[in-house]
Amino acid sequence: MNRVVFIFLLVVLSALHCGCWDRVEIDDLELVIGDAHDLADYAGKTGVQTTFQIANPQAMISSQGAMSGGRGGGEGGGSGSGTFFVVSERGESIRDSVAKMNYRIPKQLFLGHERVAIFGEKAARSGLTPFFDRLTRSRESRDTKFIAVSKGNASRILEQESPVSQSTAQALNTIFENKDGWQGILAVNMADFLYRLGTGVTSPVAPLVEVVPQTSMTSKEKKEGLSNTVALTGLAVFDTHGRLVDTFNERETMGLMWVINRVKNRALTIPHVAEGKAEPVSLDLTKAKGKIKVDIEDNGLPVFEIKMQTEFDLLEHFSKHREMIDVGLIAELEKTASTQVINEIEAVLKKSQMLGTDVFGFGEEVRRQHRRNWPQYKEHWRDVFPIVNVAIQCETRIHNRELSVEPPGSRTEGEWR
Amino acid sequence: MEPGKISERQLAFLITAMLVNTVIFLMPQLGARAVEQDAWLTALLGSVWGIFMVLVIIALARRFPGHTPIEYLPLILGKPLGKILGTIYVFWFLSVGAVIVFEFTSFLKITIMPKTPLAVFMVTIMVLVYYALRSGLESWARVNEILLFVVLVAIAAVIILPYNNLDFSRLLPLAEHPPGLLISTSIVSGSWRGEVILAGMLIPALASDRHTSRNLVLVVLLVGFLLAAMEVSTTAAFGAIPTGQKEFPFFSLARMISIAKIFDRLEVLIVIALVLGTFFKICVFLYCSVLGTAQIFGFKKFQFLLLPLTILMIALALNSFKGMPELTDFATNVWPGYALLSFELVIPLLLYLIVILRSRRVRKS
Amino acid sequence: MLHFLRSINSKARKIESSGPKEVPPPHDFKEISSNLADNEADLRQEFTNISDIVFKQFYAGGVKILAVWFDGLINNRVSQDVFRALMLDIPEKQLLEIAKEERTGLINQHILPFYETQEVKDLAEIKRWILRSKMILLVDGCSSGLMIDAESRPQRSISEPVVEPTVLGPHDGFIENIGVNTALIRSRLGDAMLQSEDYIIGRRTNTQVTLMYVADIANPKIIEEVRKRLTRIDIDGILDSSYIKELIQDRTLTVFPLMKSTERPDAAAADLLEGRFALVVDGSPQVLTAPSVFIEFMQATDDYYMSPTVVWFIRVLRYLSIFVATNLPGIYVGLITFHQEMIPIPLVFTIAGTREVVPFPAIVDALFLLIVFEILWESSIRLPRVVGAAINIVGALILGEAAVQSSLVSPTLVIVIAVSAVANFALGSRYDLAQAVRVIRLAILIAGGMMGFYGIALVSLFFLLHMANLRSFGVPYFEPLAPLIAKELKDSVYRAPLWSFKKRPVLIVGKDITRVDTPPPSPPDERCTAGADSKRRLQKGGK
Repeated sequence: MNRVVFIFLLVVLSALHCGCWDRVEIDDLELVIGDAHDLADYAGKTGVQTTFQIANPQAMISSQGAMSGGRGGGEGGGSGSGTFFVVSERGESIRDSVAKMNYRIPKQLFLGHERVAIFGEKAARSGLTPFFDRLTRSRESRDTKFIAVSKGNASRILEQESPVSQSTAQALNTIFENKDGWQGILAVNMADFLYRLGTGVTSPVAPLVEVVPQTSMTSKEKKEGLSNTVALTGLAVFDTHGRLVDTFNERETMGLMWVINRVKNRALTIPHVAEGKAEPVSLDLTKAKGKIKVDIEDNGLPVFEIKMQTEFDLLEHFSKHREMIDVGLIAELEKTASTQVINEIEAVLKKSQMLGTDVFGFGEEVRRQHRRNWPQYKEHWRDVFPIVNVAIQCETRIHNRELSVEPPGSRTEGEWR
Repeated sequence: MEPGKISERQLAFLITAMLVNTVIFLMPQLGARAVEQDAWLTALLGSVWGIFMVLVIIALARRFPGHTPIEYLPLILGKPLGKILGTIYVFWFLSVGAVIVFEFTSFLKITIMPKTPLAVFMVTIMVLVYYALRSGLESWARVNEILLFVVLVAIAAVIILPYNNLDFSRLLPLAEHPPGLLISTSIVSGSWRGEVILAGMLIPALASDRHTSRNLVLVVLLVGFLLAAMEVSTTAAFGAIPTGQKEFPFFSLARMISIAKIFDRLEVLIVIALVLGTFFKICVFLYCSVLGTAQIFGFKKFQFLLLPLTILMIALALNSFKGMPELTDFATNVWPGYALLSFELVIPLLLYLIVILRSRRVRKS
Repeated sequence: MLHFLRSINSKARKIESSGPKEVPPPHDFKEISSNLADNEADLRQEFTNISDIVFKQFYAGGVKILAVWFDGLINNRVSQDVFRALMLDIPEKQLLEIAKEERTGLINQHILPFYETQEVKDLAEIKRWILRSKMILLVDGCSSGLMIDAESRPQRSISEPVVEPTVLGPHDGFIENIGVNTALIRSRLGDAMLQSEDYIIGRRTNTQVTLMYVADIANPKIIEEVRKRLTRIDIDGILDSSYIKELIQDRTLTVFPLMKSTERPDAAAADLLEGRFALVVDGSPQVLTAPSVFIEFMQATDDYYMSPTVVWFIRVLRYLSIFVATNLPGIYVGLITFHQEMIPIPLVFTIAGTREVVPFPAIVDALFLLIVFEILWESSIRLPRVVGAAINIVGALILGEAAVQSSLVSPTLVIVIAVSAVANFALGSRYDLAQAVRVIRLAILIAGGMMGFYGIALVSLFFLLHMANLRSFGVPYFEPLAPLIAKELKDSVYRAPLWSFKKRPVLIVGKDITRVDTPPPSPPDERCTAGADSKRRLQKGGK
């Protein structure tokens, strides 16, 4: 009996005397939800500027009662009592700059809830690889964290107040989480990016974010001048060493998404010629599948074949003509859609071959399908890729047309016969 | 600390807990570094080594029923040599157990509670191991019977639930690396499977012995399969090179679980489930050390050995490595030789050959 | 308290009623003298200064007889019948005409029309019988006395047990009278194999304890063990069955209950049918049954009176409740102090915001609320009913609401503690397990506050290891979960239909293993509904 008591006390005291090293009260934490990294001058050399967007829970609680619509930001009072605030610091490395923030932040930084990392243009051009070390080594970071590249300085993105949500980091996170694969939105997380870097021949990509003027504002906002927001404007393309090379526009991004099977939701608008005029028909994607096949030609160069299979529903015929009843017309539309898809893929193919960046993963496909020949290409892939031939095929099917048989107003009484 | 009797199922569960726990969070990184995306093949090949070792240890156990390896070593090699080898084996049990304590507590510290000193993890878990062992083999084998299910569910969850992020084309091309490399990596992988020979120390405590070899072979195959599945999942999620660049791919994979916003950020729970499994692994190692020590010196009642050996294991664990870099180096370079190529396979095989040759000679004369 | 009650002299003794074995005479055996005056003097000396004892001397059949009993403990009608039979209905001089030693026997077998009588040869035992509210007759010239069980103690009527109510099922419950209790069990188990052995335990209380078991179902080794432990008890007084429980359990240093105590006769009878034994203690409405294992405490009697599919859901809920009741506060505290990354995003802001105004660390808050709740629990048990309503209002509304508003505690924490507390009572009305849960919950809370989920894992492991070590009369506490006896899992997390309960629990049972042999229910072989169908068949001349 005494022995039990003794051991029990031993255990209890040994565990109690510390004060418990990892115990942190939740209200002693600064909850960071987004970070931005830039290259900046520091102590005469090139250093890192890290910006954090940090939540202010107290303001959220008190503004929760007052909030009606969704306008966060400075509604509940002047500066400093907004629901998020931004801190920025410079240092030699990321960890260094974060350490320097301690002088101006009251609580302990907590990065466990971060979801988005934004890199500045200059940092991206000089190479993102050194930035990733801290982001992968840290036990608070996750591989599911989303990456974006900003035009200009990344800190501007976080400093921008968002008129459509509580904070820009949260807005970006929500877009990436919910709209990955919609139109030209390609969400890239760290696992994707690092995988591509690891192959040595595939070019990583990341979405491009910019501060842009807001397109519609209430009259109050026009007076106050709350005129900017943050939007995705393209796709940043890197070389195999993680250096930013160029950007794709919307069309090229969408073309890339076809090939790498990342399209989830797409409204494809194709022209349909009726009575001499070209009218837009909008199709909604239901399924898309792309396959890459590689063959080695006699001259030793690989030749690629991209086979796309897409299925759509007809969602809008912006016209007043009545021909949609005709089944033959559907076949025509399918052909036009295929051509459109092929055009988009050709656009991105042309640009990436011009840049010498293999964004499709062609190199990896050669490695998987022709493992014996791969070693001879691996070293020179950057030169081989721009000259390979790529044949693109697309098969489209259009299924249903929602709730209308033909556009209203295209027919009047007595015209059915 | 009387051993009591355990059932065959309890033994199988104990061995499963023992084999699956540490390998699952060390091996994917090592495998990826050696053979990239073919790591899963080496996991399955490692099971082959494991099956060998099961057969050897069971064959030896059948020749000497009711005896642990420490007890029949003197019978095979003669008293002085047998006792010396037995002592070395006991020290092997103790040191490997210490390595396991170190690697597991390091894993906990790095991933979950970084500021807590390593010693706190070690002392707390060893105190509980002490308490468990004091109650006798039967009782902690019984708890393992209940808890193993939790551990296996956690591991299966990590393998399956991140399916959104898995791209299986990253596993191609298959078997890109030369067979020689695959086999040598499978030795590393199989060394962890080889811990099954500790079952030899537990077999005398079995109540009945009908299906033991079948059970243990199944256990080795299951663990090999789980490890292969884990390596498939980590490679599919991150790609071969990044997997080799992470210290704990298992943990990083657990972080990728995200389903319907409910099953999100569950990695802490997974790690805690592993605590429940690794706890019993440490229990087995300490138990074998105590039992072995008692048998070397011929003690009948050996309760008094428990406390000193527990403290000894804590001390060894604290001093074994400076940190994970040293441990990883040990696991790649030293461990195959320290384990499979000596204590786990080669020595038992030699012993068995000696036994067979001797019995043949007896039969001839 | 035990030390205080322990005494040296008296040991428990088995009463020689219908048992086949010979019990050696106890150490304080005293021969009854043939001289009535001696006996009377002895008794009067023993019972000095006791005002409620009655000594009545009378003549019957020509012989002097002394009747002794305690006033108020005897059924007056019965005692009147005794006297009428002896004084009025005996032919005069009848007792004088027979041998002296045979006098008591004659009275017992030919004169008194009662069946609950016993001849006693030991004066010390006579005294014990008097103390146990029986009536004693001592006949002059005979060295054996007669005990008449005309007991009529003050007692309450049978009512539904307060702590174990059911919706369906019988509503009678045990009361404090051992005769009634054994009768309640006997009336449910009409089996000749249901044995009952009486013991007297407690030197000064002389409490009667009956051991009941079904002879061909129960494991004889376990029964032998119980007998051994019962006769080993050496204590001053047994005031409740829980004293017996504490004295014969396998282990006392544990929070977990090792013997089941129930106030329901149907539950006790069900346990007896499974091969367990029951201990009925005079003066206590709680009947003990053992051996009991952990999953038994997660079963409620209602489970057997409802449809199995529904019960499956309720049992799962109950296991969930025990998990919630023990772990929820610890998990919450561990979550917000160690593993904040696990909290989903909007919730983490809310919690951080509400906790910011609270000055105390989370674990202190949680401990404070838990202690307040435990105080409320204790006080509501002991409250006089009239004050109850007011205190409830104070407790629930004012304490909870005001505490939150004054920023002493955070609202999420109140919810967590409240849910955990309520979950404690979903455990199938097993009050003893609920007590264990209170202690476990506190331990896990402290562990969670000290080392987060790792601490909770360690403490849970500790409790599991402890439970794995427990045995109830030799049966492992975790049976049938571990060692895994799959066939017996039919009554653990779910309850299989009754027709599938083929066998009794293996580790508890002796010989008769098969319990149920009914085939599973199936639709009738032939259509037996009247209607167009059967009419047509009749018309066509079919079967």
